[in-house]
This record gives sequence, structure tokens and C-alpha cells, in this order.
Amino acid sequence: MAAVEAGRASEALLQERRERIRDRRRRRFRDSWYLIRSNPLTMTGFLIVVILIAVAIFAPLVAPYNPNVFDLNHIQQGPTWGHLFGTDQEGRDVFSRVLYGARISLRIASIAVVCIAGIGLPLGLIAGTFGGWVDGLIMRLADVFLAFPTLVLALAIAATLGGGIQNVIIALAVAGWAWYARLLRGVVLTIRHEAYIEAAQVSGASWSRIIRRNILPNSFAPMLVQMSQDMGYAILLTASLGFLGIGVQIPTPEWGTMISDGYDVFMNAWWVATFPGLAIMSAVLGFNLLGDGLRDILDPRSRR
Amino acid sequence: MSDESATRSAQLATVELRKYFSTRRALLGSAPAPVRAVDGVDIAIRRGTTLGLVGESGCGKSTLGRLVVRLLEPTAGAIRFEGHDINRIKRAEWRRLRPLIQMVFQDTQSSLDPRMTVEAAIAEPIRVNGLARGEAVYERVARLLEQVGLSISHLQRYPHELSGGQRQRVVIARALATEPELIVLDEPTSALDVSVQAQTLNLLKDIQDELGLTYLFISHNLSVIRAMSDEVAVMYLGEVVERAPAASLFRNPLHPYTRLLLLAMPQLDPLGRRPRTPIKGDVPRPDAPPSGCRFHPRCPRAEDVCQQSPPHLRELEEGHIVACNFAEEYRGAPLERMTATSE
Repeated sequence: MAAVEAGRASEALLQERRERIRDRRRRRFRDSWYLIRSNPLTMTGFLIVVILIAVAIFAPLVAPYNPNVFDLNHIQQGPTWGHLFGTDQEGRDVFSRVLYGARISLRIASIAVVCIAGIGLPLGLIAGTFGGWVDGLIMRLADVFLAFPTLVLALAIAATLGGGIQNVIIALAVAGWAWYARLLRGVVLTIRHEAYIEAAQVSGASWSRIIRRNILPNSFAPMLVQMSQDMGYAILLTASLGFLGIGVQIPTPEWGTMISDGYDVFMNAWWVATFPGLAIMSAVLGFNLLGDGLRDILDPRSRR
Repeated sequence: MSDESATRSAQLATVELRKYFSTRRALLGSAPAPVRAVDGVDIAIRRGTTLGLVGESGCGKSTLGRLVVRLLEPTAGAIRFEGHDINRIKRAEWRRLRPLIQMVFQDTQSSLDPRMTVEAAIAEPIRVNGLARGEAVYERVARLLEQVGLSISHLQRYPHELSGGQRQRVVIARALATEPELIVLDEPTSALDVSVQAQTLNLLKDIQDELGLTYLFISHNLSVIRAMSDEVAVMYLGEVVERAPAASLFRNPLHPYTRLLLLAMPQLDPLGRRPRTPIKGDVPRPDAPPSGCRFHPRCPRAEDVCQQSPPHLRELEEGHIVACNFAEEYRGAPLERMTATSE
């Protein structure tokens, strides 16, 4: 075998290489932006998510009122310029509460999705790559969790643990990981039979290298798409738990809890429940649309 | 066998190589017979030459190729590469030999990772085998690209941005990256346009001459095999039925199967003077091969003996080995003559 070459490459080659890489990145950025822009649905999802994140970050600056302070002089007032979304039974500003709610929902959903992925993805990767009894064990375990409807399972866990942000996250993670394990396993199984995996084997790459260099990068896109869409689903689940009273506790301005509050007075003050409901709807919609768009953006083959 | 010494001096030789695939047992059923994809194959390739492996799809030629690069482990028999039994050597020894045996795949679309640039794809085997470090890797990749007729302007492209021919050149460059001595070419051109096929074949020949490579060239296309091979082995249902230097095989094929294959080759024959002789029937199931000579159900020359005992490979002429009871009848006979008595 030839000796290891460790010398320097010619400056001309490196220069050329740098330019090509810059060119490739520029092209990639331009194409990504084009794919977002050219599809109105992706654009809508993208904008909603950007606004949502901005609202969550800047809630204290944007919100006109403190979301938790009672104002008993202005109880159940309809939407006005002073209170855009009206006020609730305790005179709190619904608009400010919806803005702060974005914080809670996004925080819970993003941590939950990361936890779900953190448990589900390694297990799915192992199951898909190694197969055999390892695969059998992991997937049968996943089947146990998949046998329950997600909401019911999350409900049972949250009810057992008691409410609070942390317990809601745990409930979501336990209810959701199996979906990721199964999805990634499927993706890995497809990739494993591609000829480029065999080519990597023939070139002498170890399995750990093949996982790092070929399998993970290729399964990244479907996972990211799934995670984006599941952000929406996690927001919905959090709200469901809140609505049922076993999620985030009062007085935290959480959308589900707020709907639950407004539910009692819906006939007199429709705005108390309606606006948090709209917020949930648009958040779920936004993440779903973004997920669909990401699918196109992340596939190198969908570029021009 | 008479070519014992040839086997020993060959760069690659297989000895009684077998690969059976067992299919999954059906619920409540008995275990089905295994598929005998490769069933006792002896081939030998001399250093710097090309062995063409030809046969219908399903005859086991790709399985043989995959055994040679150890994507599969044989059920029985041995593969010797430069005298080493590659399935039984120590790991460290295999690590040294592995880069010397490379493969080019048929499907250019799926044999390149869609998320790796050309540079990354070619640099990968260089890094894996520690052949270069740092900037020297780029220098090498650039040299390899040049060798296969691409330029460094292709470095940062993704596979989907290249044409089929360009992709196959990248695949060839990747195979060359580890400085191999033997390359298994598994239908390297059958996914390409005819014009690109010729270019790719020429490239492969040039590279072989330049680097003294040994090729195991797998194809179902006899014209391609003829253009590329020094020696040809014809496979049928997991067995080699005829093996000969290319010139000898194409001048005077001695096995009825080879003859029928050659007759089926498209010819420039605008007046249609030559009768077409299709091979009747289908390839039998490889999990239940026919008794005796595996070709007998489809063979125009078959007699009762063919059903009873399998014919052994016999060397009829210098280096020309054939497994047919009636091979002598075909010596010097025109291709059209399939049976001893007719015409």
C-alpha cells in the first residue's frame, strides 16, 4: 500500500476548491429561499412560525398588559382598541395572555419534541441498522406504546404525575417516542439497501462510520419534517391536557387552560375562549405547512 | 483439476464456490429449499486481465461478484485473492487487502450518496483507508477526477446534478481511490445510453492498461463482454458451463447454451437470412434446479443421459473448458448447427 500522503495541496487547487464551495453554498441558499418563496403554503407556514417564535421571545415587550394581573373594573369586556381580544372573568387582557401563551406552548412543545426525538431516534437507528433480535425487542416495546392513542396515554401519564410544565413534557415524551423509533427505523431500512451503503462497505468503512456519514445525513430530512409537524401536534396535546385540567396549572397563561376558562362563559364572552383557540389553530397549521415545505427544501434532488 | 497451477498463479481464483440463500420458512410450512445462487464455481483471473462473466439475469453472476468483494459470505468453497483465502484470513490482513478489491455498481443513481458531493464521495475511501490526510486528500481527489475524464469543476456537484455517464465516472474514480488491484464491474454500463456505454468501456480499458488492473466484468451483454474480456465464463443457474479465452469462445462456442446466446445476439442482418433461434422456455427455479445437466430442459441437443448425471467440466482445447456431454460435436461446427443430425 502506498504511504500516507500528508503534504500540502497546490494553492491553485485550494483556491478553486474554496470558490466552488462558496458557489455551492450560495446556490443552496438561493434555492432554499426560492423553494420557500415559490410555494405560498410554505411561505404562510414559514411566516406563522417566525411570528410565533418572535412573539414568544418578545412577549414581555409586545404585550400591553401583565397577563396575570386581575383588573376587576374591566371584567369580560369585548374586544376594543384598549383590549384587542377583550378581557376575561378576572379582567385580564386576553391579547396579552395569548402572547404569553405562545411562550409556554412553544417551550413545552420544543422541549417535548427534542425529548421525543432524543429517545426515539437512537432506538430507531439501532433497530433499523442492526436488525435481528435487537430490532424485535425495540419494536415490540414501541408497539406497546403505539397501542394506546397518544392523547389517552399522555393523559394517563400526566394525570398520574400531576400537572406542571415538566410533567406535561414527560407525558408527551413517553407518549411520542415510539412514533419516532418506528419512523426512523423505516427510513434506515430503506437507506440500508441502497447501493451506496454497499459501496461504503466495499471501500472499508466501518458501520459506525457508515451510520455517521451515510445513514444519519440521509434520514435527517424526513426526521426534521416530522419534528416540525409534531411541534404542532405537541402544542395541540399540551392544550388538550390544559383544557382537561391536568396540564399546565392556573394561572399560567396556557392556551388550553385559557379555553377551559373561557368555556364557562362562552355564551356571554365568546372572545375569552375563541382567541386562544385561534392561536392553537394557527400554530398547528403553521408548523404543518412548514414541515411540508421543509420536505422539498431538504431534498437535494428537488433543487433546480 | 488440470489448472491447479493456474489457480495458484491467478490474482483471483474461486474454488468450488457456493452461495445458497435460504428463504424464510412459511408459517406452518416446512423449510423451503435454499436458492442455489452460486453452486460450485471455479474461476481464475490472471493479473492484469479481464474475465467476462456472462449469463441471463438470475444466473448468479452478480452474487458471484458480491462474494468476491465480501458483501456476501460464501456458503462453501473459497475465494483466493493473491493466494489468501479472503474469508478465512485475520482481520488485520483483510484490512490490508480490502482496499485492493473494489467494485463498480450497475445503478449509478443509487450507488452514490445523494447528499455527498463528488468530492466527498471520492474522498471517503481515501480517508477511510488512511491513504492521505488534510489537503493531500483534495489533491488526490482532483487527480482521480482527471483520471476518469472529469474536471475539478465537478468537485462540488451533487450526483443528481450529473449525467448518468458522469456519475459512472465518479463511481469509477471512487473505486480507484483506494488504489485497487482488482475491480469487480457489475454491469457497469447497462444503465447507460449506448453512446455513453462505449466511452465508459474505453475509459475502463484505458485505466486498466495504465494501472495494470484486473477486472471481473459482469454483464448480460455479449457484445460488451466480447469487447472487454480476455477470458469469458458463461454461467447458467449458478454454474459455469463454459470457460474459454474470449477469441476461442466467440469463434467456436462448445456449449449449446453459449451457442444459443450467441445466436440471440442482434446482428447486422438486414435481409434476415439467418434464422432466429430463441432459447425455448424460461430459466428454471434456482431452488429446484433440474436433475443432471441443468440446461437439459431447454437444450435442443439433450438426450436421456443429460437428465441423469450432470456433465463435468472438460478441457477440450487449450484453456477451453466446457460442461456438455456432446461438446465434441460442436468443434468447428457453424453456429447454426445445434443438433448433431440436422442439415
